[in-house]
Amino acid sequence: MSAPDVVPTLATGRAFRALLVRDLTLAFRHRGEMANPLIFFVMVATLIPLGVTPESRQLAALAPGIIWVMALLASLLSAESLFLADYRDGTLEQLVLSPQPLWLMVLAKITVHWLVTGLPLTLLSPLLGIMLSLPAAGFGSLMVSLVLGTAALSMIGAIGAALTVAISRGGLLLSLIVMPLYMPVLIFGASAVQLAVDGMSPAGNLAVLGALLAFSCLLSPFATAGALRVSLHG
Amino acid sequence: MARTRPIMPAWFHRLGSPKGFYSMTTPWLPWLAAASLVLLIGGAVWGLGFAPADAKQGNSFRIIYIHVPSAFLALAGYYVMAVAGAIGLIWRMKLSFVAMKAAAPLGAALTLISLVTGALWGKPTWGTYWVWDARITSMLVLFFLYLGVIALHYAYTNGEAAGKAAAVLALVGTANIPIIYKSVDWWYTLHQPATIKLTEAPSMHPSMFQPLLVMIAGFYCLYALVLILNIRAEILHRERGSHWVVELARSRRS
Amino acid sequence: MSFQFDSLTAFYTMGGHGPFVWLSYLFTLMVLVWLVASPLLRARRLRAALARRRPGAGHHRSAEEKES
Repeated sequence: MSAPDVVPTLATGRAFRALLVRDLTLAFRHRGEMANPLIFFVMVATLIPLGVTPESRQLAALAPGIIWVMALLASLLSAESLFLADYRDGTLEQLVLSPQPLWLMVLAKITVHWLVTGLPLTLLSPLLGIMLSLPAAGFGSLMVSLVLGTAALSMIGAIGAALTVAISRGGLLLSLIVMPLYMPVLIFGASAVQLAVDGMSPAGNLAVLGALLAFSCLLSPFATAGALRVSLHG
Repeated sequence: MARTRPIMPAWFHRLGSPKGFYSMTTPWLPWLAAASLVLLIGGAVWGLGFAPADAKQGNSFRIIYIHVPSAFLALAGYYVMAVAGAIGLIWRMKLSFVAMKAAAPLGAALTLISLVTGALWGKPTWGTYWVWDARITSMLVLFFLYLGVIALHYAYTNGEAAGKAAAVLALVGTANIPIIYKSVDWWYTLHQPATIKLTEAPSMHPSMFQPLLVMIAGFYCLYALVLILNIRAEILHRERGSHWVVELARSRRS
Repeated sequence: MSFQFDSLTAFYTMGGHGPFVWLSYLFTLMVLVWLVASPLLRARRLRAALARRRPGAGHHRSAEEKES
């Protein structure tokens, strides 16, 4: 960061793309790991009717909130792995030392994280909507809110993942420090779906979700980069 | 140590050095202790015995004299913690990380007080200990934010990294607190149960308000006192190898 | 400004709200006492441990400080 000789933008852009491709390739080589949060997502959806009620009217009333809470938990589960493998094999150290701006490299990793968790969660969510008898009016709003919301969750989760990467058994700690920060996303995401189900326009809520995403895009890469430096070098 | 610092007033440097802080604050302690004792006892007696009971809530209203000041300082304490962390990150002042570490459990304890007194106030007023009211929920989130900072600090074995990591988290939390509060507020208006309303008189009668001011001042003094005591204990711990601390320990013994 | 209760019993019971009010104040008192006491006890422990340490052990202290 302190280097006065600016690295050419082309190289930076290429590094960004290279990291993006590398992480995506790695994610697809470990498809099983990638599938875990999704399986969790669907499995908890099975528990709800068993634990609460199979009665479709009651399920429909709970569905927006439940689907959103589960998406949040699935995203949280996967956040731990964001930097862990790279930390263990030393790649993270190389990234921190590389001449490219660290926040940009972090942005690439977060983008991949969202592509392999948030996006599949969103694509899977209609299935959960059906399982939990979500009224038809809510589906569009559910998917749009999840696309925006899971991206924001990935951004926020990255900060926690970076802070806890060097701590052994940091997973629980990660949940503790990240969950309060997730709450605004949950509130606006779940109520966007609820509003659509109730026949009102969710546009305002979706706009707020977009704003939260924009804000987290501004804040998170820098906070995450700083957190990674602290984690690695104290 | 060899770092060249921007020009700052002399007291800043004294505050920045652990030894300077320690010797500077020693004469403050009795005054702070006396002030907080007098204000808190005076305010509590005034509020419990002499302030008029609330027309609607009766005597349960007297809980306000500890509930509001503790909630007030719990929130302010988060900013104290975050600002201390930020100073530490920007100026690499070790003492400000010490201050941040000292502020975290203090703030969490005050948040806990405001939550517990809020619940005890809620029972006679609303008929239930817990309501998902906007302010209570926000306080609960604040409590979680404090716990996160404390837990993160403890999880690090390296003291310096612990301070920096906790400072980053505190700063991220600070950026999020207004957003969390606004969204919880909005969420509450969406779900507001019709039967429950937070009865807060738009303007309190001076005879009720004056003891509250005394209690807030008392909590402020106590906050400063405990913060300084925590910092001093932490300084003793971190500087235990240094000459002046050993000297101090022996002189107190004699 | 006058005492708001007719008797001490009325002061204790506070028209039925007594338990809640007194429990709140008691809990607050306990937490505040703990807040003040814990750093004091910690400092005292640290000081005691340091004072027990053999003078000069591992540190650049000379014999003349011994008597303190």
